[in-house]
Amino acid sequence: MTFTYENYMNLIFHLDKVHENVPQDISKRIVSNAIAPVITVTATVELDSHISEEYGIDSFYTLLRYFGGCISDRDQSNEYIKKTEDEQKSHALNKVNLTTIEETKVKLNEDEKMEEELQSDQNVINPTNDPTVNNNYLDVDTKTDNLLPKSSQTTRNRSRSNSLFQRDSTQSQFIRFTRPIEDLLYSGGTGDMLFDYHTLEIFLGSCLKMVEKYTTDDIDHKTLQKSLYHRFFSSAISSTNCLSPYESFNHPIVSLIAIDITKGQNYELARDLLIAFKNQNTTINNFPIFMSTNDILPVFVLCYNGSSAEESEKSTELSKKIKKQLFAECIRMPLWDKRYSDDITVKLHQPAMSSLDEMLYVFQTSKTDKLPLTLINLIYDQLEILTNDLMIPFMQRKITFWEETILQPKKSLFQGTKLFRKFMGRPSMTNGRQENIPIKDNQGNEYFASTSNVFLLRKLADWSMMISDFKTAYTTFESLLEDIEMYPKYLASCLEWCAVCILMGAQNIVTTKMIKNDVNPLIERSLDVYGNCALLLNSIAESEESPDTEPVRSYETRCMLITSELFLSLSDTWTSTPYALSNLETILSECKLGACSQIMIWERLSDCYNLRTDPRVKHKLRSNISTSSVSEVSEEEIKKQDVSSIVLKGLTRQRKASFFRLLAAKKWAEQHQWRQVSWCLNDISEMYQDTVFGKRESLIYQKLKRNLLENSKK
Amino acid sequence: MSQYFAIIGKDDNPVYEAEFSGKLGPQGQIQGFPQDLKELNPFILHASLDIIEDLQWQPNLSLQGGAAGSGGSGGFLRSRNNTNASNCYLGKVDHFYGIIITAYLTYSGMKFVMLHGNSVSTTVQIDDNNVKSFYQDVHELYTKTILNPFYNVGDPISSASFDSRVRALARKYLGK
Amino acid sequence: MTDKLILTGMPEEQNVHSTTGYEYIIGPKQSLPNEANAPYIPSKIYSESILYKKQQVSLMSMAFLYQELISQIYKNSKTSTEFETKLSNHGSNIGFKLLDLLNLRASVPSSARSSTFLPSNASLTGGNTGETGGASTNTNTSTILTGYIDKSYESNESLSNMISQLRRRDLKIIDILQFIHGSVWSYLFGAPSNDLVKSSERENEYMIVDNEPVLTQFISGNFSCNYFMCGLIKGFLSQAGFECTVSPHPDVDEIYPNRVVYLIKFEKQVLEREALKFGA
Repeated sequence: MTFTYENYMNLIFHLDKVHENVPQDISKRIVSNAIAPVITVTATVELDSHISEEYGIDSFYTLLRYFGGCISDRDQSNEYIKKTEDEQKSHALNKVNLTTIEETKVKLNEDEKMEEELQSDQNVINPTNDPTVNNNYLDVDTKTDNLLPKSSQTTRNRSRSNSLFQRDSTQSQFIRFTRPIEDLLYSGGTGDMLFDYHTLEIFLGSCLKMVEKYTTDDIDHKTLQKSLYHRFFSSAISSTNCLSPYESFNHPIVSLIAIDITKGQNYELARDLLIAFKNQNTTINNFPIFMSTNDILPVFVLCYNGSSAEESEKSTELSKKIKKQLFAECIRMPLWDKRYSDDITVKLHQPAMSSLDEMLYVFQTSKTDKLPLTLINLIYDQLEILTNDLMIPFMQRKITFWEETILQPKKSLFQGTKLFRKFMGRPSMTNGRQENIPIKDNQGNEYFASTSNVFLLRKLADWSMMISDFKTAYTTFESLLEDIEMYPKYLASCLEWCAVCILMGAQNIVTTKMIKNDVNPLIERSLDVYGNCALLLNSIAESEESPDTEPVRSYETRCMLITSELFLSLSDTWTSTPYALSNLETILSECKLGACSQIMIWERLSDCYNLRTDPRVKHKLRSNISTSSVSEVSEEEIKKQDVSSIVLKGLTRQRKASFFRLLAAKKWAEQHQWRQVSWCLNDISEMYQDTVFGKRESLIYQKLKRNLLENSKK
Repeated sequence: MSQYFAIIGKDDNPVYEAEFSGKLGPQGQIQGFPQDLKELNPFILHASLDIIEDLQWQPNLSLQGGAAGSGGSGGFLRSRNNTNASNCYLGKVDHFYGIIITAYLTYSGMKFVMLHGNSVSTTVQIDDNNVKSFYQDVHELYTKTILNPFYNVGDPISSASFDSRVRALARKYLGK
Repeated sequence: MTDKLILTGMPEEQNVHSTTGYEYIIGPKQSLPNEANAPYIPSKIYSESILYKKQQVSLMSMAFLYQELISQIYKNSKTSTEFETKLSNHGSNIGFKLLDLLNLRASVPSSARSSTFLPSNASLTGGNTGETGGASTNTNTSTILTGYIDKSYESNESLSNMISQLRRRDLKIIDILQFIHGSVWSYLFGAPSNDLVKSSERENEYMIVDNEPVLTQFISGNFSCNYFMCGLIKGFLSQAGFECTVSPHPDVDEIYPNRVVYLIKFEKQVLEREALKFGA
């Protein structure tokens, strides 16, 4: 049974996997996911209602939303595998314990399964990981139309596609789905804050309730606890779909336009939809000036009935026609097929990352959606095509174009003599693009327009990050710094991502000196600039009342959260943890967060101290244990070692870690989160239970233990 | 300002503890630590032992309070003749919000640790020389204690005589 | 001297202040404002200066005592290992106590040591009739003059005004061995040991050589009796954080028929730590 990224992030839904270790590089994966390319989903009303009728899922967007995240992991289809393995387990139990009647039942079940397996075994044909394979399949599909068996082949080989097994987390491509731009503008607005701590707190509260409901005090909570933090972390850094004017991570890159062939939707409609999409710049009245539909790739999704040869043919023809006449690509999705009714249905789980509002909505409704397994795999196939064959090449084309037309000329100018530059005058004026100054939108806000060099460079950097080209991203950010020195909000964000870039990309070569001289100054400067922005807004707020500093503050908080988490992912944790600690402590003292959110940070402080182990300790332990030399030495193993070891004294911060756990326990108790209290106390019992302070009745440790006991009696 | 002072043995066991409170409050009550800190103080102190053990074997100690946490960085800035400086008094080793933690090591590795402050919100200033003198004099008292043939190293020091002398020292050096 | 042991000459004392010390189970006591006026709870141990006083014990008495100790342990031991361990433990206890004492004494500059060397009135006024200096720090002056005089710390019972800088804690093996070779031996036997040698074969072994061991000079035939000194060295070192084992080895020749070598084997980790902190 494999353990995937999604499993870890949603560990509370996968309690059978609590014994797994925290995946390596998890913070890098989360950041990759948080900045993953955004794909908007627009569907015709007819299609939405058709889906709703057939599957009880209210729209095509809601359906695709389940498929966000790391698509190559194919989490949703793993749900099925998991279920059958569970059944097998229970069968094994039954065989031992139960009576003959039940045994026959089991036999029947097994026969069924045999059939399934036979079915799928036939299709283990091509286990290669070549993206072109998918293309081949597309061709086969169109010709033979015999798609049912084919799709399950990938589930058989899922281990090869598990993103956690990749040596470098940045190799896996994440995607995010969101609603159409118009909806985003309506609900989010642009000046909005990144995350709203009230909602974050409510979300966390719901998570904690779930934890309370599904777990016990003595569950193996180590990984679960960390998963909860990472869930919190990912929500805090990516919880919004607001369109920021200062960075382009949430700006859509692909726009899916879905039509329903079954309902007779045809070329004319597609053409009209595409025109409407292209004209959004002018038709939507508050369309942000920093966005342009020119930089969004429209892709049609043709939904048809797979069991109808006629429809299948129609869709192929339509896709050819669209390509020829509208120059737009299509992906074809047989959303319906009469054979699906015989197929196994899979309960869909929530994606690893989703906006807070949507998560809260999900918590309230507690509705589970189901889809046929075959369909799930087909959707994944199509999404892989979309991502690997359409989206990424599109991004790369754009990146190359921007590099050649903006970045290169800019660089060469800077290398020229000063005299030369004088003669040239303002370089930005000459190449016909807009000046490098912000312009006012119709609400009076000053932003850089989507066509300005500044914003295009910013996009170049952001997109390079999305496809894990951190080197290009870094140099672009760096070259941008000078241009935006006068615009603090742009500058702050740019500095922040410059630092993130190094931490994400240069992990293995980040040295103490680099952190001290490069990374940390960037972060500090970024925080300073964010702070100044907030102060500036404050002074305006005093005179005018309304503008709020919270949006800026939320960027500041995100910056500290991301960087501290990435610091922790560095290999030399002895040098990097102090930076993480100081960032987290600043969050606690300066940033607005709800009570439970704060405790999450307190717990993280404890984790930080646990990680603060001198590299020499690890080295020594490795030689002591002399197991496989490559494997990382976990915190647990360090704890297990003789603490009184003469050499190791003073090279760890285990007591400090326990103390912060104790503080967290105290604060959880104040919030009546008794499950969390119990886990925290459990973590520190080894440290304290035999000490005088731990036994003294008047002190906090015993007091918490008593409170916990009283509470469990109630 | 209040202080919580403890002598910690090799197994993190308290050998002696005392709380010193400063002046009387406006109503004549003792201004000691608030209750929630009283419950927490020993754990704050315990948490700083990691750092003390780190500093214990550092060849060079910077006594300007910079020794906390970073543990042995920037050694090249210190002059060579510093190697003769006393390394019993470690100075400020740690802090927890407003509370400052100072420490001292005896030759036998007993840890003298003290929390200075009243609350987590206001940071206190400490006079390094006075604190050092206090520790040094308690060190002497401690040395006398272990000279007692009936005292075993590591046992709690329950002598009232010792207690009264430590408190007098606290009044002399810390009672401001 | 005996009068100092019965120092309860002030009957009021009991009413003023409870005389209990630190209680392990309860935790720290808070200091009370009125205790500033209370006198010290009298104590022979704390009111004596720890400064070195030349008080010699006759060799015969010492030898007699040592002989008693050895025969007592010998009687109660079944094996020679048990005998050695027990004798060594007695030594360790002394070693523990010497560590802080001798280091503190070494912190007093030699000039101060001789000039303040046991002023004649020290032993007489050492009780609670001392000077009035210490009360000045107290601000509640209203009750100060009621007759109780705070014991001054500037009095001779403390070394604080003699020490300007404490001796460094020894962090290296060689430093602390030199202290044993010099200061400890001088304190015990009036002169440094005869030699301090580092083993050329094994990195963690050192030797202290005593040509004429004082304690065992009247004992012949049982070399194990040297385990007392081994224990003392071991106690001193391990209490200072240098875990080791110590064993005696005869190294006799015609001039020194009793010569003994104390072989000190440090634990590997002690060497590792040193390499780590001081860079090998």
